[in-house]
Amino acid sequence: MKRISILFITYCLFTGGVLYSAFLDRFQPEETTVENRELKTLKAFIMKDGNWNSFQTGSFQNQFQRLVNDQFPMRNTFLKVKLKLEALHSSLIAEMVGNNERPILFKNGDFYQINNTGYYVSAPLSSNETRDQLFENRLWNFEEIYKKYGNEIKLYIYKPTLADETDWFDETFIYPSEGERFFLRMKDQLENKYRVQEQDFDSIEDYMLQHFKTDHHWNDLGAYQGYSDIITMIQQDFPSIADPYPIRSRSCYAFPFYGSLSMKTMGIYGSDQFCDYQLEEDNKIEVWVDGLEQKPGLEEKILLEDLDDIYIYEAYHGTNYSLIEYTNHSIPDGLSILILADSFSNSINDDLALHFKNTTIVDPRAWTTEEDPMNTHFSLDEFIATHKVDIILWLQYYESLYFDSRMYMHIDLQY
Amino acid sequence: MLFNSLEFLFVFFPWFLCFTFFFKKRSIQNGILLLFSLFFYAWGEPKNLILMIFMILVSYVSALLIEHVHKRKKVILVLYIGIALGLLGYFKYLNFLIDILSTLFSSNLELKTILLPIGISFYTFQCMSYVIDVYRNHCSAQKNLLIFASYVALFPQLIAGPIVRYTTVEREMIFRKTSHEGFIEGFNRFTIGLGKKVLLANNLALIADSIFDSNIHLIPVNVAWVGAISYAMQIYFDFSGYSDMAIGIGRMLGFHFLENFDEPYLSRSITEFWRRWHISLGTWFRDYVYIPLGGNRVSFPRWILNILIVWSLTGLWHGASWNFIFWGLYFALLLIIEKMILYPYLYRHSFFSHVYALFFILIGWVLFRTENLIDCFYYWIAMIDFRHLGNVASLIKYSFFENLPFFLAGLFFCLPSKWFSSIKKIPFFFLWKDLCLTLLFLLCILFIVNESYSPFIYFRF
Repeated sequence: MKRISILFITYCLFTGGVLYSAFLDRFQPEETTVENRELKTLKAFIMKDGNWNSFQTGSFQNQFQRLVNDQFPMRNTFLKVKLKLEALHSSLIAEMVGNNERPILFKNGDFYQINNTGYYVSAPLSSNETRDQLFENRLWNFEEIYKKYGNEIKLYIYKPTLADETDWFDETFIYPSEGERFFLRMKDQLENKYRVQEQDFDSIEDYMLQHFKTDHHWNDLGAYQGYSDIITMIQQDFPSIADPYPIRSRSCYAFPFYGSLSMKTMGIYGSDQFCDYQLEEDNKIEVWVDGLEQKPGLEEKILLEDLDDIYIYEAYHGTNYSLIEYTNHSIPDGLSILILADSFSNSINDDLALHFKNTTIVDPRAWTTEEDPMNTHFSLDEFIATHKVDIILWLQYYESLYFDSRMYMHIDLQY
Repeated sequence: MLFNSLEFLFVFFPWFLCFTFFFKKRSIQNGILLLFSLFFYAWGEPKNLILMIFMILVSYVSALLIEHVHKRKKVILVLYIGIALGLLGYFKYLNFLIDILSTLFSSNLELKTILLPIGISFYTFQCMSYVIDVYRNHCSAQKNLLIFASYVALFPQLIAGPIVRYTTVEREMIFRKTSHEGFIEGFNRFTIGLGKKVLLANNLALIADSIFDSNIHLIPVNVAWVGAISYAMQIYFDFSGYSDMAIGIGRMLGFHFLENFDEPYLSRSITEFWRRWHISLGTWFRDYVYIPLGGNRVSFPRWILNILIVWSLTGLWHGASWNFIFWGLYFALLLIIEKMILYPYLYRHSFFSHVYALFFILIGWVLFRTENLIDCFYYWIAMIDFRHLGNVASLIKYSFFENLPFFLAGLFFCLPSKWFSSIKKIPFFFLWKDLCLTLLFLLCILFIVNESYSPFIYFRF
């Protein structure tokens, strides 16, 4: 009698599973919020890469691999099991590695936890030839903008600071963070042309108070500090702008907030509490988001409790819209500000809008218009030509501010 | 396409098996084998498929000519070897040669980067061994191009060995037999190889990389040794794992490839190590370079020269870099010293000779792994410098503890297999073995689903 191989039967079952899930079953795109992308489907694969040219360039092979990986049966189960094993293993060895005298990190996935605090950070900001070049390109761009508009418009840069940019973990990683070098270079280069400021912390504890444990964004306290810093910075040139409004009330939600870093581990490595504050002043403000009169974010915030598997920071504050326009009817003679932003501004747009007559927030990475959906390049020249602009504020964290070429403003130098 | 990828395991391989076993006729099976092998190669590098096909055709024609044109067969052989080595030299060594000439003549000679076709060293050596064997009348030239092409392109061993001699599989290309037991045995072997690669090699690489990629001037002596040991295990499990998978697939199809590794870290001398490590390469150089040069049946100075030639070529085969050449020469020197002085003493004290062999093997792997000779020198210094003992960077410490289970497992699986031979006597041994292999397979899937791209170390040879 022939011996039955449990191993081979298991193999056949998985092979059947792949055939079923990848090639026979799923045809609708499915998003994975953990990885912030759509899962590859057979239909999408055939439409985009089902051709000889794609095979020659290697795209066919890469996308086919992605298709099989994404549609592998019980994929999420395997991911969760592995992550749980890693979490168990990490907790067992934490005591061997930890050191209470300095912030020692240990690795969970692609990022690191500060001792046993539950706060996650990425590796120190490093430089290389490509990054240095991108950074210099941005500095050059800022110079161009100043040359063209510096006389008429006041220019500001405010950068939220992440732990990767500090020198707190230099010794642990052996290589130093380049964060300070980049920032000082920018500040020196743009001295007397821009007001350049970054979010400042005295210590890691200070940082932890103002940041989420499991998300790269600042929490509500950090956002309020950022809002205050920005208004104070602008007041130096425009004393008529109202002081930062104090916090009237603060509320925290009961549901767990799985931040961007935790979502990568399917929530296994912890969560945060999500809080928000309300300022004292109530203004009559009209808000238009991508051409529709509505507030950014979910209309009914309380519904967040009922929603599963969503990124709450975006749902609550709003995602990276291409254009948000506030008109503050309570300040008819107020200033007009253009904010070139990334997701950090989402939590303070409403607050900044209290101080200006017109507040326009543009995320160049998401730029598109109804008139010309194919045009994804925001034109600063065109905007300034068609709008009154007194102030331009860059509100971006280091990745967007230094290296993201989508944030580069192409301007016409023939003036 | 990698063996440890989901698309190979659950798409390519099942379809290949289905087609192969659906048709009973051997010629059709060989045709299927060839088609799938060419597709397998083209999947990774469609443009370089032409090069491999060219090599197959040239080898096929050359062997036939050698067999039929007796008077000029030496000329044909020389021409053929010139073409084969010329192609290998162009793709693999031309940039290196240009660099050397630029340095020697202080000029800025530059060449556009030539990409190394995957597996070129393996299939070139394979083809050369076939033609030389025909020349030596060790086998007849294969008249059926389909069979010959299937032999060269055989996907289980195409891109990373073992270097399968035509004489090994000549009969099986036509008369191989598959059986249920053989199929299961092959699949089991494949799974073991998969486990070695995915679970051991990839995770040991994390320890080794965290150490070798750090500041070598600052690593303490204990970390240096952990790095060397980790890398030694990484390269062993990576390469032997791949060989196991190749041999396993071959067994499933009825082929009996020769073993490529024989517990090399049990060696008691460097001579013995090279009889146990990458056996197919060692025997290739022995049969096609060392023996034609005269082997050890020459004068003493000539013998030393032969050793130096063979081992510098062995080093060069691994890569176009001075590191690899010196690595080969390092072993040449050890082999000469063993032959001249140490050999009588080495097997008297098994423990000490074992320690001696391991010590020099580990030193050699450092030379193989480091980016350049200067880094190697500093790493060697770190291995004997006890001043920084205990000052371990947290990241390295973490990588080690994170992968400690794999480090310990690696050490365990380097132990002699004969120590565990009595395990076969336990009741229901085959059932337990099957369950353990199934668990191993599931663990591998767990890691593959999670892991990022991780090619075999020997891919670019």
